[in-house]
Amino acid sequence: MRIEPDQLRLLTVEAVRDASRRRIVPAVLVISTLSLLMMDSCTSCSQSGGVDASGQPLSVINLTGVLSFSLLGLWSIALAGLLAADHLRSIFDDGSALLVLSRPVSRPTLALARLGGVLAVAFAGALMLCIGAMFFLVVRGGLPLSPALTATLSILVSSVAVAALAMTASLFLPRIVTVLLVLGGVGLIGVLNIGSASGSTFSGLYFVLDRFGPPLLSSIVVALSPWSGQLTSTVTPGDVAARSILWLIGSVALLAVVFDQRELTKLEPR
Amino acid sequence: MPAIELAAVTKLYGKRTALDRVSLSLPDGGSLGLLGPNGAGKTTALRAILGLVHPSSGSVRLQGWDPLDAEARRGVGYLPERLMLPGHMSVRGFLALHGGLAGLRATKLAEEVEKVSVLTGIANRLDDRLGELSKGLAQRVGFAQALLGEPRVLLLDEPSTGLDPIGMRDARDWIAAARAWGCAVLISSHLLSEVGRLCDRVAILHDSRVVAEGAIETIVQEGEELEDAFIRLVGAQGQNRGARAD
Repeated sequence: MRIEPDQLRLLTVEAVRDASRRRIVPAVLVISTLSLLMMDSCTSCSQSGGVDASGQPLSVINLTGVLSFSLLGLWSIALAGLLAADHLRSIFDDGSALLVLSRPVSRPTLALARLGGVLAVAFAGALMLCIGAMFFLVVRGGLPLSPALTATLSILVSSVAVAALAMTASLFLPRIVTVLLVLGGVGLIGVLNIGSASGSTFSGLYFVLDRFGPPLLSSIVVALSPWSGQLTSTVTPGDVAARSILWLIGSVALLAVVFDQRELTKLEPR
Repeated sequence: MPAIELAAVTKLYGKRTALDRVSLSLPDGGSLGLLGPNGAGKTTALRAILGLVHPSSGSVRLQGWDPLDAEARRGVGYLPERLMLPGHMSVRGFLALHGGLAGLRATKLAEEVEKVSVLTGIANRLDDRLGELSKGLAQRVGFAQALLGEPRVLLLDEPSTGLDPIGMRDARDWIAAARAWGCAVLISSHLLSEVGRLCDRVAILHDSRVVAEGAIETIVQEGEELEDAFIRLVGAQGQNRGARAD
């Protein structure tokens, strides 16, 4: 499974161009801008509400910060998955994949380049949202910066894992099914993570997904715990960091291996 | 070491047999025409040679390598049957990308793009977008990318597709030029005259099997053209099949 850096660079540049031409990108820009405008109005007041884990009153800015950063993070992660849902598959539709693979290019090189293309666009979107949110919450709201930076990093890491998994799924599933899987999966794990962070316990598949699945929302909530003061005993920063890194490495490796073994004729349009 | 070697290659797609114990060999610098009616397995054979499909059994070697290893495809030019080009790219950008992937760098890459674009008659279209090209011009671009870097092995799947008579004559010249620098050429086609002019040897595929292989003069009987030999080997079986269907 050889990966040549020069080939990876050439194909990634092309994949970034491809990804930035997608029709979904302008829509994402509009939605992101609207989200930030909404956050602008949400953070323009600073009334207090609720109490933190130590019984201290929480200001609205703390609650708004955790809630909005979590939602923006989940949206960014889902967006990476949505963009990845057909970014590898599409080069079989337009015929360019077979020509590229007739060159001395290994399949993992092509898969990683396409993943890189998706992530460049997804990261740009995520960073735009996170930096915008940081401006409102840290500069205007006076919240500490470091939790936001850690949460941003966790969003980027989770985006890689979800995009790689979506790209792998797209090698077997129609685009619409992959899209629904991404939305359903990210949504379900988000709900489970927020449930366990609130003290709920799960059993069966839900327990497995929450405890061993990619900690999409847990990692954000844990990173932002200095803002909220909430951290359940079942979710520790070490556990979340380890799981995030394992899912990142595992999902990218899975994509490379599966694409290396996949029968390419099954990816071509009929 | 042969440029291409297939040994008893079988490829199954579910219950359908696309290749049935196909054995072929193309020596370095040689030329082989792969003939056969539509659906005979020609395209699958080419894809197996490039490692794009995994044989169900048998072995394929490309320049001595397993074609699933990317190194096997170094110095290989390929023109697919259904050439689809990314419409948003310029001709120059497309050729530069493929030259780069083939291992050409900087000055050598620019020189090669220039050279193949002059050779294939697209030098004045380098800044056009691929999506704006006619089918014939697109096929010329396909040839140009296949010829980048003077490949040692050239795999052409129905290379005349979309070309007008002048283009077909030009294509013969390009293939002859490739052979002149020592390139091994495998042409898959159902245009017998084209293969007869360009190749020393032919292999005839029918119903996923090789029904004849060898130098053209050994396949063609006295008083026959290649077309007559092809019909004798393939057509009769086709007619029998038709009779059964009736």
